[in-house]
Amino acid sequence: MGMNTNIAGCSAFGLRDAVVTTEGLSWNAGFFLADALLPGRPFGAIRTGMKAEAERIHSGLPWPPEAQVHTGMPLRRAPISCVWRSLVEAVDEQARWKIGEGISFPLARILAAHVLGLMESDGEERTSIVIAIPNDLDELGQESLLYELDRSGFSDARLVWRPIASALTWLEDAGQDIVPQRLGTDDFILVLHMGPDAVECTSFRVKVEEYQGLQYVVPKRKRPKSTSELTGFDWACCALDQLQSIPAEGVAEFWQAFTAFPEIWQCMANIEWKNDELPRIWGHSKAWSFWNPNREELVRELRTVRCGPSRLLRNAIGQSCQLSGTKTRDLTWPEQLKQLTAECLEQAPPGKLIGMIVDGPLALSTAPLWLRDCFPQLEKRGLDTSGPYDSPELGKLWCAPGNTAIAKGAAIFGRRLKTGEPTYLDALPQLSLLVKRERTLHLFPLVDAEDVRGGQEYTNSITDQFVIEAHQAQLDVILYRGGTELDWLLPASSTDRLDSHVCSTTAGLALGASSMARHLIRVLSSTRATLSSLRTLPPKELSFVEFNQLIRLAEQEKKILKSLQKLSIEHGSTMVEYIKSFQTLYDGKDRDSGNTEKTNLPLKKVSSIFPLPPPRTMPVDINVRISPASGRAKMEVIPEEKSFLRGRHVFVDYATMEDLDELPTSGQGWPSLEELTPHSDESVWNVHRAAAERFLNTNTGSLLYDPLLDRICSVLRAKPFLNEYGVGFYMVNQEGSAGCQAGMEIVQIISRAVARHAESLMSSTSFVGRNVRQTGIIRLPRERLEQLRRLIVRGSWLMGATPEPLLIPMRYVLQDKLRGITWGMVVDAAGRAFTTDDDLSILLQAVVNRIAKRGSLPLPMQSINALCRVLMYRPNGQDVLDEDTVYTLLEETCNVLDQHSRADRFKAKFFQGIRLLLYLLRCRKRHPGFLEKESRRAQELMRKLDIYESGLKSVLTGVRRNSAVEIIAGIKDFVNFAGSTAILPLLTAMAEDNDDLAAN
Amino acid sequence: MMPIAARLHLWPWSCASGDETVDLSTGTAHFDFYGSPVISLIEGSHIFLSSRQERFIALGPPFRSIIDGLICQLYQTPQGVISNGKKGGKLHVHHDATRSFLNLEPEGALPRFEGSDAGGKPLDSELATTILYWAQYFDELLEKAKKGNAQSVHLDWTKVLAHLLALRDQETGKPRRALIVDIAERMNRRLSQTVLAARRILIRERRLLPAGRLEETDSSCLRWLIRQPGNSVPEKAGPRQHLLGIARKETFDVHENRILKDFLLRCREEGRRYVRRSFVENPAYRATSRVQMVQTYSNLCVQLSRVAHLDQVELPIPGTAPNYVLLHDMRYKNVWQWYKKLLRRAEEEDRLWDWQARTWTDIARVLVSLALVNHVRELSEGGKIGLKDICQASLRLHGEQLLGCRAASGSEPGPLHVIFRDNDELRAQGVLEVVHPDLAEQHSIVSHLGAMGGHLYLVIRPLGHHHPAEVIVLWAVHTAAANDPPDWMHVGESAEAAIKSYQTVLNLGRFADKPRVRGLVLASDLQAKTASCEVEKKNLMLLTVPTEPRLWMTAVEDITLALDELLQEIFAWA
Repeated sequence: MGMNTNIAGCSAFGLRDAVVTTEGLSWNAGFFLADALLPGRPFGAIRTGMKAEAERIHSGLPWPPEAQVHTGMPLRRAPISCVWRSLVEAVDEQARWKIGEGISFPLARILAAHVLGLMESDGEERTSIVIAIPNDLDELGQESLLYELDRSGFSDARLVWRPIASALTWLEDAGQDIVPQRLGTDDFILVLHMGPDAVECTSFRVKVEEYQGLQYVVPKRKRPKSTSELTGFDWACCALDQLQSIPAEGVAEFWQAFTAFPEIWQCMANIEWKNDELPRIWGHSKAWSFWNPNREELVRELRTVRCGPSRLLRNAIGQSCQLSGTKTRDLTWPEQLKQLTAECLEQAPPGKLIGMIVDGPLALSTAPLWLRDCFPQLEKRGLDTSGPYDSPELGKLWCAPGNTAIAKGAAIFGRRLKTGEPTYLDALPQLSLLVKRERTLHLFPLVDAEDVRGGQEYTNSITDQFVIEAHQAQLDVILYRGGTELDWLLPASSTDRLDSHVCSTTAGLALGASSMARHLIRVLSSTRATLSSLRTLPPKELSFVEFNQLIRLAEQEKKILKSLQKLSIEHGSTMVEYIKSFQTLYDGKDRDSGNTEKTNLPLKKVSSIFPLPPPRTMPVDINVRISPASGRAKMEVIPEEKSFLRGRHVFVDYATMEDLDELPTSGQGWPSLEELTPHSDESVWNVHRAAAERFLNTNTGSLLYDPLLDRICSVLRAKPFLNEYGVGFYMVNQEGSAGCQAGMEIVQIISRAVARHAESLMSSTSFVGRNVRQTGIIRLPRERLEQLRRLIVRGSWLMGATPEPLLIPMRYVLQDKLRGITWGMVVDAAGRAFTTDDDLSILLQAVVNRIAKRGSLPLPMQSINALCRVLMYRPNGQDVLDEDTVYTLLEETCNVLDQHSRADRFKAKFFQGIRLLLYLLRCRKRHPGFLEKESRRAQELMRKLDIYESGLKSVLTGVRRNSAVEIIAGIKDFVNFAGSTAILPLLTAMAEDNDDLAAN
Repeated sequence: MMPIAARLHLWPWSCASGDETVDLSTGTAHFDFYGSPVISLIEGSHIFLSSRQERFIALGPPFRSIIDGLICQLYQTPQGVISNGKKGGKLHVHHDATRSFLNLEPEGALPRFEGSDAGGKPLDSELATTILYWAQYFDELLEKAKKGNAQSVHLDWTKVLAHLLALRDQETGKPRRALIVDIAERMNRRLSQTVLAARRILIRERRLLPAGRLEETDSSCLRWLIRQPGNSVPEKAGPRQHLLGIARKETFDVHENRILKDFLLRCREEGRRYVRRSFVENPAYRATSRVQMVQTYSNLCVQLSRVAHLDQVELPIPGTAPNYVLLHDMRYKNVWQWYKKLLRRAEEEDRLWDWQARTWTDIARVLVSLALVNHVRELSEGGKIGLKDICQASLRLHGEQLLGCRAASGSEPGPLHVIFRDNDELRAQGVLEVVHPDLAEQHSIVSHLGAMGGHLYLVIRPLGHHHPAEVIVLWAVHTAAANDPPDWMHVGESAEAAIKSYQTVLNLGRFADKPRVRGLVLASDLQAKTASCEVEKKNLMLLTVPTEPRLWMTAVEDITLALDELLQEIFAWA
């Protein structure tokens, strides 16, 4: 921007557009919905302003054919507000307006033409311009807009956020009254924009900045989390949809009332109609009549119509432009606006509300009724809501109908930029690059600045993270539009980020919902893996029914995701984001099954092309430059030796950007933790409440005791419930928690009962012989021992919630202090019930001692299962294993597997051994050198796995054979630090397979 | 023999009139030519002009024939069939994979050429010359549309009207503009420079050179030398002491100069033709600066085409693509642009002649459209009938003629808001829709009027009353192409009778929105200097319109008045 240029601020969202110059001149467009008329050929000129309004093309008139508008036909007339909204919604896409026959126009070009038309019609000499943009327009949208403005001749055009512009106008007048010393850090302004393209409510903190000895109060913007959910055009269109004079399928009639007639807009803005212009000629599908609406009826419809997207508008423009617009709500528009204001106020900083601006062409010159309903809340936050509202004053409400305030703010922004005065503070868009460090993929944030001044450039540099290979002229990088919050999604080998993220993200949520979310992570890949294994089968071996069932299951999983997403809205945004992130992951993978849905992975691959390839492998730095509201970050790739580029600069070329089909493979060195998903349906539990209470009140000597104990046990260890989608849920999870409040209560009752019974069985009267302190040996009568055994085996299904009194005898047995109870049963029970480090050490030591004692006999299956459970379900499972013990366990597991393999017994027990083998790899968390890739033991293990594989191939058939082969291959990958969680559900299915299936 | 129903109608409205219909079942027809005969064919047939394999474009929507009840379609006949006799007088019709021929033998059509010049070349008739001016008129409109945006083919109707006004005001007393005038204006100064400093290139060629002057050889020359008898080089050089060597030669015979030479020759011919035409039109024009300029330019072309270095330049092979020089060298670029236009004009002349009746209907449609625009401008206030634009439209032009038509269908003005006042009191309102016959099938009312053979339909729908819609059917008859002007009263009676019979058929028809029909006939007249209303009836008006574009503005004014009267008649019920 030159020093002598006159700067114009422009607010052009398609209704009552305004241009204000720094010299104070202002110009307003008329009160009609502005359209752009697109040419019929790709390089024609776009007509805007009055020219477009007067043209008949796609005006909705019944004659001539070029004027007609029908459902399902592309349009050459583009309402500017819809174009803005579509550009905002496009986010990462190059959005275009389609006119049919393969011709389309970038939305940004249409908007640039509209701005150009506006600047020409104001009659002023060409000036530098600052254009207000919606608060939620993303970087690609900004960049394309700037590019198209440049093409139109505005090479030095600037963009400014719409609410910031309003705030600057307000601060220009009211800011002088602010006493900086009295300004709290959390004091804020509220800006409510009522525009045709969006109704957005934004709050800004304000901050005092010094420049040349003067103090400036500037707004401090935060990036919006999502796009605004209300649009003014949907409000108008919903009201028109309801008008009796417009037929239900009357797209043409609706279109004229929407784009050509100003009455609906005037009603919304409470502007008087010009009666001499009414009635207007109104074209119907095959006839003509007069448009002479009843104002009261229109106002009533505006007040009572439900908030949501307009059906007729979507029918009209659906073929030209995809528009989500307003989300469906069960409230009227005024109620929704009230709620929007209230929500914005709730999410606003905790300080004092020092001013509120209501602007936009649909704003009124006084406070509307729905806003008056919010007055108590506003007053509570410190706003003086007494009128008048026509001037910006500190601590008061300012109603600024029209776009002039925004345009003026844009001009102020331009002027301040020119003079170097502070403008506003902005949070830059988060951007990260995916880098690989120590076998692990990480997201490296490119932008770490807290706030940047509006109009100023932020730079950063990434060094020592990338290299370009010798003789290769292309460097590929993977971009993520965000910070490091998705780090947990990346396949990791050295950390359990997935596990920790799962726990931290779902912490604080309802147990059922969080557990279900965690469940999905594990189950979804199961479906995928099964499908992929099915695909590898020869057609003749493929059971059609089975295949279809699996396909259906996959679809049902997706349905669950969607319903869960709906549910999760109630649990706050974190949950929504969590589920969404996972769904993108799922959708991305699901494409393999023939689903053509677009990948929504938030990662993009971008390349930078070098004019000449480097002569050697060359480390490169990446320099990032970015300004607020100025498009995407410019990333320059700077090689260590620049000489081979001969002075040329190489940038990351966004034109090469493409969706990342799959996450980059870094591979995992050990499996992640598993989790049992508890049922969240209370009715499942309520039927057992009476039994639990009876069990609590029954003594061990009672005749009813044993049947009740069996029943309680069968409740706790019930087979997974298949819900309506066919997904299994357990009664309690590995921690002994139920998925609902009723369940938790019943579990507590059972736990109390088990504790009571255990205590009674272990009571002092039952000791035989010398004191335990002297001999360390406890003896119990046989009948007590039998009762205790039964209680241990059944009570331990309380999993992590097993009460301490029952844990005590288990410890005694494992420490060989209590004899007479089958050791294997207790080990199995301890695998379920033990959670603490000490307990786990006891269990482990017991297993190791047993191995030493039994010599060449194989490890019992109870031990295998117990160890496996500990490593599968307990985050601290691997921490109690030292390296020697691990190798011992590995050796013993291999012996068991060898035995099965030699006997060609590849049933569930074999796969339980395989599962332990896999989970032993979790010891790498504690002992990174465990089974190093090139080590002798690793090679030996690989050789054994090869033997198992060949055995499996010769014995098993069909789906089981494929699954087994995939599992062995997956374990090899894990050993080689290239594992994927996809095999885990497969392995679980095989290890817990029943005999019928095993015989298959 | 024609295996299908095919008839020729002497006037476009004559479908229902047995007296004015000739049966084509024998494959040959003798008939009196009045300028715009039409052929009706059974639906599903396609008719072609044999000489160029051009497929005819249907006129209006299909209709059920009153004579035999078959679904038929109308087609305008090309002038080539009528007047070229042996050269292009045949049509062929495709129906259900069978092909049959039609031979039309009209009486009373004007010929294309009249006499010949001193060189024996045939001279254009006055009608042929006029038709070239029509093409020139549309070219000028297109040029105007492209001002500011080279891609644009749209011109606001107000600008079309302004152009016609300018044509009337500025051009009176001057010979008409033509392509050669534009070329002469723009190329007069540049051409000499281009020709005299024509591009030349140095080429290397092998030829026998005196042994002493041999400077350069190549492997071919050496092979030649080896093959020559003799032991030494002098012996091999032979008695004339010549050896094969490489000589450098300057030449002008390059593609761009071939185009330049052809351009000069064509400009010379076109200039002579223009001067001759102007003289025939008015001997006084010879003294005008425009003719003088073209004469001078033509002479210049003659001189320049005789420049020595162009002698060796051959004429270009037709259809050769332009080279880099023609596209990018500033001097040759201009030559190439004008050369292309000259070529295109030459190619189009035959087509324009053949499809002149369609060109006339195109012109008539433009004139009526302009009359509506003129009515909005001039008569909207004060008169009984006021027309107001509901939306604006612009004339869309084809870059090249499409079977004689240059104005795209659907680009007519309208819809218009019609206000009928009486003593400043609003009595009735309506909407006027302008319907091109190509789009008539999509119109709820006009789709039933295919048998009328109208060239444009003005549909007036009253607003707020249950009065039936009214349709003014425009017939543009190219009577200028006939030898003798017809008896206008007789023509008017024929059209009126047709309207009455169609109205009866419509009234009996089973469809809603039965309209009332009126007619407006615009007849071309080669000799007329002003438009005049020859027949004025309650439901029909016949105007003769001069064929000269400079006189069309007066015609527009007369048509405006005629339309105003017809609209007043239409709203008489109010």
